[in-house]
Amino acid sequence: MLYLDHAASTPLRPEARTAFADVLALGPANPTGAHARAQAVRAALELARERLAGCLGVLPGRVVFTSGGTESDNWAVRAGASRGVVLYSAIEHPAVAVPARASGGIEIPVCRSGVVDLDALEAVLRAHASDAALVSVMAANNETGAVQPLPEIAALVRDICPDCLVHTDGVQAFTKEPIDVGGSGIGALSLSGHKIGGPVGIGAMVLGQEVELEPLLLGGGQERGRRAGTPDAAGASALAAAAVASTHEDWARVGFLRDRLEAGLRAEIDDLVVYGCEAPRLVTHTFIGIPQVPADMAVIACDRAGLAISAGSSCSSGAQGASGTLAAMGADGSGALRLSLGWSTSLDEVDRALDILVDVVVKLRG
Amino acid sequence: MVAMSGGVDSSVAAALLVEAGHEVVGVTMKLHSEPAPGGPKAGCCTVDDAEDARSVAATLGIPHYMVNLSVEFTAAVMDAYSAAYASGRTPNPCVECNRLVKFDELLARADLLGIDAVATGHHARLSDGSDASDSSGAAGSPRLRRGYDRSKDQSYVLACVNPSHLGRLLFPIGTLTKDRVRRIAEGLGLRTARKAESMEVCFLPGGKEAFLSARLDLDPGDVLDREGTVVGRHRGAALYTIGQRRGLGVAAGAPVFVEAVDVSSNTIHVAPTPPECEVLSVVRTVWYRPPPLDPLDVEVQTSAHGAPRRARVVAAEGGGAASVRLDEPVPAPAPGQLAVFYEGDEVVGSGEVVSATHAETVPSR
Repeated sequence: MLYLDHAASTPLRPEARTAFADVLALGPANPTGAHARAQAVRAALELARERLAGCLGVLPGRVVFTSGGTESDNWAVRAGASRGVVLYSAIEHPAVAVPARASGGIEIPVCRSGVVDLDALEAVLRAHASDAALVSVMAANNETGAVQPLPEIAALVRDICPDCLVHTDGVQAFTKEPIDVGGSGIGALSLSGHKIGGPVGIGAMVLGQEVELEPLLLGGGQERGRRAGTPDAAGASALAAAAVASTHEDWARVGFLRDRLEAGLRAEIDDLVVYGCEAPRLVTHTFIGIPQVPADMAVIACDRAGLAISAGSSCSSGAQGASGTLAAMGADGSGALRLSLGWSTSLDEVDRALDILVDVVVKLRG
Repeated sequence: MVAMSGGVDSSVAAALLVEAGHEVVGVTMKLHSEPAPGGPKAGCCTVDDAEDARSVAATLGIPHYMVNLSVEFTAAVMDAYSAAYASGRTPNPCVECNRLVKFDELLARADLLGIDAVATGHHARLSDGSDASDSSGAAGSPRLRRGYDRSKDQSYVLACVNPSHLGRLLFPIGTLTKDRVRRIAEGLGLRTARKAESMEVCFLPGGKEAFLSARLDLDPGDVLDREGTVVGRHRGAALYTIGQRRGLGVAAGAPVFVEAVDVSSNTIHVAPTPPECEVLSVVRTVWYRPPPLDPLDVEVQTSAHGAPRRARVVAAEGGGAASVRLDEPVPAPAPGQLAVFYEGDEVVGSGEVVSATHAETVPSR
């Protein structure tokens, strides 16, 4: 099976697998216990915290482990909404967009390139200078891979409403693009384990200096009172190991493969559209439209030919829905396919995937 | 390609095709939108049913995909459903889905994927057109027949499927009883073996009235008896169906039945006896044989599990419409219902009822 769906979940890195198993081998222990076993697990958890903090250049105490990207995103948005108005971009992942919309938040449009419209953001910030509490813009989009102008966004917020917190969903971008928590004005960063080669079920929130959020989960006061629930030391260790490995990954190599795939598709499909290609993009993503090729059928035909890809975003029943990102970009997205590469993608895999894609397009076009 | 709803019938349909050695792909149709995220979980069956279908496909070792038909379904079935009620008709949404959405869309997708046939878990049978029991049809095209389990027969809701599609359809459980289907499912350890049957319309978890109230401007109005006397108040004429007895808001001692629905004046008319008819006018006819040139003696059925009644059908010239003369007065079907014509257990054709009247020769009561 050829796998070009790394943006959905990328394979577990061997370093993460080893780290996970090492902590499990310590035996049963709750890291908050007082005995030796608990202390060993606690040490693993704190080492993981230090390693992840090191990847981002923050102090370990700024890292809070969570169950994943969705929990971190929900936490930031709900904490923001408890203080005032939430501003969020029109291309946010549902983990941000759904709670933000429910709180009566204000959606900031994006330009046709798929990058947040800074003029629109500025206008909304000025109108809400007194009550805006949180601006949430993802570091890079999960479909197009378009990198968002976080330094410019943070500068606008600092100028217009300095008390407003900037949150970014870094689930796709982390380890592939630099994200400066603290220094540039990013106050909170959401991370997910399985997008970087860690396991599913572990994530993190990284907070800027002096940033505190009203907790989402209440209970035993773990994670310095910020996130209740027994910490997942094995998951955290695996997440940290994956983050270190992913930070040292040769992403230029992956970018070369992505460009080769795109060039091959353009050569074979005259009317190919690559969404978001005018914007700076993650090297791992390509989001393409092929006229007269229904995306859901292309996914099935590719799967039957041994290639795993995805179309738009999935709904909970697994049906392929229309892409919210494309709608926000003002593009007609009935035929959008997301091909996403990762650390394990090889040249041979890309070339074979290209053959399958071209073959499927020819067949579906009859 | 097997359409897997997540129920036991389509699960076993897929299993039988796998057993027969076919290369099988399971699909589940997403037909309508889920409740808004964060909203109440209003009996949303779609996600659970899709999970069941996925689980069965995994047990059978076949791939499974979701097919999103919600745009097509919303326009052709849900919007048409409320429009029909708004004009005083009583639509059959399952019929419209089979007529306009399910089979057309699945066959089109099967074509795209190079798949030969589409199977469903309907209780109905297809027999070879060369069947010697009947000589009036064109040889080669299969005949649509009632399911072997007469109590579960679903030929009625299929009697609107484009006849040219029948040659590419399969109904693998149509020759089995429901008990047998369940036993097969249990034998294979399928998760759906004991699943309850779905009896309601898939997009009406909150019921018909809740759905229509959200989409139509419904105003209370008068319920009139045959003398024109106001005998009660209704909640909106569009909600009512010919022959309906319950929920009329009439405090009469004796039961009353809806005899007519008049949406233009927002009134409904009731009578002490259920309305009857001897003549049906139907349109949108579908014929599974060449349209009959001469009057044809058939049995006509006007609801999914209604009793078949002897009748004579006369197809209008030019096609598309027909007149049905029943041998005896029958309870009048509401406009919008399907009248299906059978010869024995074979479906000959169908049409949508536009009017149900008394024959001119019968004195009006």
